[in-house]
Amino acid sequence: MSSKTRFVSGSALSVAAILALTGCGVTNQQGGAVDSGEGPYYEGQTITMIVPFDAGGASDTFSRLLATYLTEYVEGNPEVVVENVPGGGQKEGLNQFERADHENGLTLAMASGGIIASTLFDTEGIQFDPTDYETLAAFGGGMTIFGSVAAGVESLEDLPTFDQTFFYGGMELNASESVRVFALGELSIPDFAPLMGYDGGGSITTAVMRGELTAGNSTSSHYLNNVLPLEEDGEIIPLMTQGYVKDGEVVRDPAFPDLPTMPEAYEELTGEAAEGTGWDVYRAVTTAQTNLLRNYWIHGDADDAAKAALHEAITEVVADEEFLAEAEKLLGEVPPVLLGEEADASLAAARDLSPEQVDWVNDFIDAAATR
Amino acid sequence: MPSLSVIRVISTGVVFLVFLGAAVISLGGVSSPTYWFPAFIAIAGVLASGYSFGHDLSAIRAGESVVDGEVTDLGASVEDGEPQDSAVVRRRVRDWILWLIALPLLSLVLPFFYASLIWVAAVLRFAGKRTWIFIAVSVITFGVVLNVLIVLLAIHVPPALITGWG
Amino acid sequence: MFESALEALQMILSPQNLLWLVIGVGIGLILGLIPGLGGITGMAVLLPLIVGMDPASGIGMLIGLNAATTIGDTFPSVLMGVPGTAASQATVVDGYPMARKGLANVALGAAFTSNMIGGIIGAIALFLVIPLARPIIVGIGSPQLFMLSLLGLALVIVISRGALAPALITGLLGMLLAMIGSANMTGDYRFTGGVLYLFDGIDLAVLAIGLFAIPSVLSLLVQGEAVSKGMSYTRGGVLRGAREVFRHKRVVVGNSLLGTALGIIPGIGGSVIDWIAYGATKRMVKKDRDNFGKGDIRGVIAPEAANNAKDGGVLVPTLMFGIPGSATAAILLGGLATMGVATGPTILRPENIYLIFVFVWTLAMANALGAIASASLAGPLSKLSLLKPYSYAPFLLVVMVLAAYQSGVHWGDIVTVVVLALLSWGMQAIKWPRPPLIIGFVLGQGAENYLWISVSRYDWSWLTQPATVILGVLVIATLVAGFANGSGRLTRLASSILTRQKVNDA
Repeated sequence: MSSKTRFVSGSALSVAAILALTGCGVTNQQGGAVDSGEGPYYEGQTITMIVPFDAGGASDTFSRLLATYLTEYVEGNPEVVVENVPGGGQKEGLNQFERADHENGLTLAMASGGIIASTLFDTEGIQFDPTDYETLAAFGGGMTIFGSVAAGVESLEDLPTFDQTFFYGGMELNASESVRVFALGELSIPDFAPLMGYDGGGSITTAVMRGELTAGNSTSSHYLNNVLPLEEDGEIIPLMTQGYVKDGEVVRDPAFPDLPTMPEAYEELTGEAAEGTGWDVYRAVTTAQTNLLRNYWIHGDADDAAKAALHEAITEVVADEEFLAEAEKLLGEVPPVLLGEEADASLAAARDLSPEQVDWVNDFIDAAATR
Repeated sequence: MPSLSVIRVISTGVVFLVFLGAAVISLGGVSSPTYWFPAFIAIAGVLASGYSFGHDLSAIRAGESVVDGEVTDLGASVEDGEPQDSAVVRRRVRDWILWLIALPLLSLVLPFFYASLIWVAAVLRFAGKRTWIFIAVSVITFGVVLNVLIVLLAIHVPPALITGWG
Repeated sequence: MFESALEALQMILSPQNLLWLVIGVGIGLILGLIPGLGGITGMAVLLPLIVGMDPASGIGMLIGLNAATTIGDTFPSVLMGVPGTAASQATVVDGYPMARKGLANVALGAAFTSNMIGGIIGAIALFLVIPLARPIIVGIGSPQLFMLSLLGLALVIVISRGALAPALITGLLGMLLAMIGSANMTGDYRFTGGVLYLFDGIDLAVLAIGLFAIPSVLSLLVQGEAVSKGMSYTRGGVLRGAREVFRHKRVVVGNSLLGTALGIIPGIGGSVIDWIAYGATKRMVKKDRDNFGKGDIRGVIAPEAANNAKDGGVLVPTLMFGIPGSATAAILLGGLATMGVATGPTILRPENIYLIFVFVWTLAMANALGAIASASLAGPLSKLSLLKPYSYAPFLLVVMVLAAYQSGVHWGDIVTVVVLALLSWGMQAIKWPRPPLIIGFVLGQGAENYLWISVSRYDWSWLTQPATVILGVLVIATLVAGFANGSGRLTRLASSILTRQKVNDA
């Protein structure tokens, strides 16, 4: 072999060797099969928690908090890593969850109430079925409706006699928003005009402050963190909450015990009972929106040992004082929690809509959009 | 290969059709506010591209080139620097279009990290005519640095869809 | 108040907090340096580290990262004509020609000095403006935001040399691209063809990389020549650039204030602010306006000053109302929430005022640190402009494709970025200006929402609101000035329609 050939082949060999040695952590292969021998199921493993939102939002931050506590409490102390998979209104993330390995129990998913509603009303692109999954825990969070003092709203009683156009602001007219629009529309407000297109809770709040909107909505945690000071300064008046659903009835949001729920407001302002298709749909969609605001799912056909370990851990996490304190710091309130089977039951109730009711929602959205 | 002016006119025509299609779709749905703004944009686009098409076409018929004006744009351009033989430039452009498409194609089959290293080596050898030493050193260095970046910054790496090798 | 300021300064200067600040700045510089990777990648990674961190450290790290990214992204913009981040595009227009003339280190020196001054002015403005923020943010409603979007569009059309029709075409194309996805007000999907990837529309990062970054690198490779043959000032070029900044005081200060003001307004994206600054400066200077685009140093000073100043401005709505002024601000909010830092109107309460100062000091220091670090690197790194492209360009392509993948973590990102890159390269060849496309894209969807809300809320009376009228007049004035431009462009356009002659504009 001439020295040049030797040189070239030597270099080629070393290149190949180094290439084979480098490249740790550069592919997407999951860490192999789980050891089925002695020791805790998750020992030495990494769990991926898919969060179908961009980094930085409330849901993402809360999920990261939960992930650190899960690492602590799951037997074997697996590292729980959050993976943000935004896109398609949570559909991309949950489709990816569906595609992940079911049996090894190494992938969890966070899903918000919105995607549960989408499985009924906005199914285009959905490649998963929530009934295939088990809920570890569902954290609740309410929605609050508040009014603009600048626009002349001083109390709930002002609504039926409001003499100007009543502009209610929201972000997007999806299923969750549609039941709120419906409920408000039933309150006998003379000239009720829903106005969608705002790009966030913050924009809605400033629009309400400005008087551009007569009323707006926000999540309870956003309200407690950002809007409460404005209420104290007298610029914003909280009107009602969407409420939680217990045993088929709408009950008051524990973070706002003095505020009526929307059905209560309806009964107070019109004297009639909140019954009928619209209100039934309201109850179902509210279950998804508030009871099940943040769900943490594991595949139903995951290894039994995995599921058992996770269920056990989550029970301990939600009882941990520090976790609750940090959650309160983050959200402004301690979120109500449903575990395991209770959560699954709630999920079933949320999706228990007859075809007529589903049509009702879609028709409502279409009608409202072309107003 | 047709001159750039002709390509421009063809492109304007294509864009005109795109706007026209968008306008048709938007006007079809104009009963819903979803399509009001798109309708406005699409119609404006039809007008602008239509005018431009006509203007360029008549300029070409008059024998002028439409691609000689100045334009505010940014970045490097193939026309920077000393003028080169246009056939050479066209060949290189075509080659690079193929190289660019080759990278994703390769990473559909091989894991992206390795695909990219092989791709870079191939580019340096066949397009850049660099020596094997240069290639070896630079590819290895790049590989190490890239690996570090991927791990440190938790950079997601595209999976090899066809073979599923990662 | 004074005590809060001192208290905050002491907090920042503690060794532990300083360390995190430096780490943030370091990572930010690297991220800015690598074209395609931006602040968002870094911030998302740093988020898990923030849990349990002391607020001053966490703020130091996040703000340090944010500020440094807009400093580091100047390197590729000037040296290769590749925008380091979407916010650095306008810098390329004059920065890259300067590099081609061998003035890369001068451009970099000027850029970093403007960065530092802009960032510090932005920090000071943050402190001065926050008490006044309420009336500003509350006063700027959807009608005004719509007008501001129009103003941005007008400015970009106006800075375009050359025939107007292609600029209009690309601008409208950009706005059309922005329409892909779901419409906010009804939730309907449009122009998606049932493809799930498109339901959220095209991502700005993917567009920026495909539109400018990749074609620029491809052009370099096709040419095969180094960006410049030699440097005009091998020693002291950076300082020269710094001195130039002080010669153009009005440009620096004016654009810093402009950047801060625009940052305060929620709804004007960060990647538009540098264009607005560039366009406004080009409009407003009296001498040598035609030099812009050929390597005028003011074309580098203006966007770079505005870019860093906006970091201070963006914090105003973010801190005051929890309205993130940009995607990185959204992550910042998440980080702050994790640390239990109160945002919202409570930040004005006496016991929380020190927090504002923590932000102010951190911003100022991060900008200073980043600028000084970059300036010292500028000398050696500017030698990159002497290298032949094959030494670095293929590697860059790999990184940029990978960076594009980060936005949606979906193969659709890669397909989109390659398709966009090839189309954009073609656009450059047939002399269609591309800046209007990206501006149209950025402003398009916002404009639609604001217009929709304005009309729904106010019928047509929003057109008569005083602020709207003022802005509307500005828009018209900008367009008229752009058409008139001292060279009779409008009359030439008219006569060209009549006589079918080519319109060419110097």
